[in-house]
Parts: sequence; structure tokens; C-alpha cells
Amino acid sequence: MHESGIAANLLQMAERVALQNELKTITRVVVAIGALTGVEAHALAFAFGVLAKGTLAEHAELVIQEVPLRLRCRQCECEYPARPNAMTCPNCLSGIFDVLQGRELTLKAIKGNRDE
Amino acid sequence: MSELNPQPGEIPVEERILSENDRLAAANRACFAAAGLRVLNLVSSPGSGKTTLLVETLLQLKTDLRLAVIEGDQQTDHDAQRIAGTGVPVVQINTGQSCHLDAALVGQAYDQIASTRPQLLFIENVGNLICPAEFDLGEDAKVVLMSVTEGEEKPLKYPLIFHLAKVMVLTKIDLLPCLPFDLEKCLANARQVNPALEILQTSAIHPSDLHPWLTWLSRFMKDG
Repeated sequence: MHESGIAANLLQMAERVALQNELKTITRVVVAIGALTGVEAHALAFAFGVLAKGTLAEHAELVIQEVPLRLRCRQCECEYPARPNAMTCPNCLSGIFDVLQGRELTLKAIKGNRDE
Repeated sequence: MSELNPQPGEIPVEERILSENDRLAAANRACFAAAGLRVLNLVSSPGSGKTTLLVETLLQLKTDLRLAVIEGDQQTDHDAQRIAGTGVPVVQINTGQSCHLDAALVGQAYDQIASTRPQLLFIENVGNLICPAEFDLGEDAKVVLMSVTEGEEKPLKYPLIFHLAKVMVLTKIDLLPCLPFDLEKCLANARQVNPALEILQTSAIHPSDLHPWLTWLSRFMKDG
């Protein structure tokens, strides 16, 4: 389960940002997970909960924004929603596209307290 | 229900969660480029024939190129021993409970074989189609392998790695006469998630069936 590695990275980053901002505790961690990533939201939340123990984020709420896949066809230039295993352009049936969104694996924001 | 909208007092970060791995991968890539080294990251499910393909490939190429291999497995050095039998330098990484290689592990492993001045490095990732996909190692290209015994829907079940790969090596095609495998459907499924994907049909049992892969490697060494 690579979500544990991702959760560990996430916690490190959140703690680093918290220390830079003189936070004593982290109450909220907001992440964006795109549909075309190898990350499963439930598995990430589970791993985060386990690994957060003993960190500044021990009692933090993890908020996961799931970002749907959106593509732009390079042939007819239309933009369309897609699923990771169905990415052909619905307009011209071309399969050459750019990914507009859906590859996010991002720490968006944290929130915390400066008091204990 | 979590509140998805930004809340007062939030500190914006907007940083990729794997940015540390990305940074180390970029350092690997710069190091490989400075050494004139080309690097492939081989990803597949367990049992697709990565090591067998690799052993045959090394035997065919080792007189013309300086080669090296980084082997990733959760446990054992069984595969590394098979590679070592070809005489090509190999470093085994045991990832323990981890299901993929990362850029830090690859950087450390490369340090152990850099003195052999390889021109082409194969990184054999841990057998797994999901976890290795998100972890950039600093390679020039990802190669996804799948065998004809795995079922033609595999690219649709694990789209990300097929989407990110530059080339797909279909292995064990010598078994096609024994299987109800729909080759055309498999190729269509793979192109559904990656229209630009090059697909090479191979078998490591008959050396002549490796030709499409060896030709691709030769082109990759010349122009990337």
C-alpha cells in the first residue's frame, strides 16, 4: 500500500509548514487527489490516521478534494470529462489529448493553532 | 461531511505531496545525463516475465553496450543472482514492506555501480502495476510489461501506468496459440489509455521473438 508512503510524505510537509508558521498543532490538512493518480482516498485517510499519531497533526481532520479527470483533445481542441480507462475524445474519437486536470497529488493548505 | 471550501486561517501550501521524491528524481536524472547514461524503469505485475526478458536482453546486448541493472524486490536476491549470471553489474534493493522503488533508493544503488560507467541502466521495479506509477526515479522512460496470460483488460484495470509508459512490452507471445487471448482487444485497450503507446510483441523463449524490443532499444539509445 503506497498510500502509507504518500501519507508519510504528506505529514512531513504539513509539519514543516506548521513549524515555519509557528503552529503548535495542526487541526486541518487539505489535499487534492486527481482521478488519474494511483492514490485511493480511503487508503490515504487510513494511513494518515495511523501515521499522524505522535505528530503535530495527531488530531487533524484530513480533507480530501477528489479532482475529476478533464482532457483537451489535440485534434479538435474540445475539452471533455473522462475516466482513467476511457479517455478517447467523444467529439472526434481522437485519442491524442492533454491532461487539464486529474493528475493532482497536492497539499493544498493546512490550518492549526499557535497555542498548545 | 468535511467542509471542502477554504476556511479562515488556512495556510495555503499548493505543493506536490511527492515533491521530495520529485527533487531526488530530478537530481538522479541530471546525474544520469551528465554520465551519458540512458535509463529505463521496468514496471509490471509479478510473473509477467521481467527478469527473463531482462536476462535475454542483457545476453544479446552486453557485447555492444556497457549495461547495468538495479533490481527491486521486497525480499530475496533471487532475481539479482539471475542477472549476475549474465556478467552484467547488478545492485539488489530489498524494499521490505514497501511496494515500489523511490528516487532515493535508486540514487544510492546507482552510486554502487557508477564506477562501471554503464551506458544503459535497467531498473527492474517491484512487481506491481499500481504503486510504482507515481514514483519518478529519474528514468528516461517507463516501460510497462504485460504477459498474454494476464488478460487483455489489464490496461483498463491499471490505467495510470499504461498512461505514463512510453512503451509496452507484451511478453510470452509464444503462448498465444494455447490461450483465448484477444490480442486486438488488448492493443485497443492499451491505446484507449495511451494512444501514443508503442506496443512490442515479444517472447524471451525464442531469441528471434525479442527482435521488436531490441530494435526499440537500439532506437532509444540513438535518439531517445
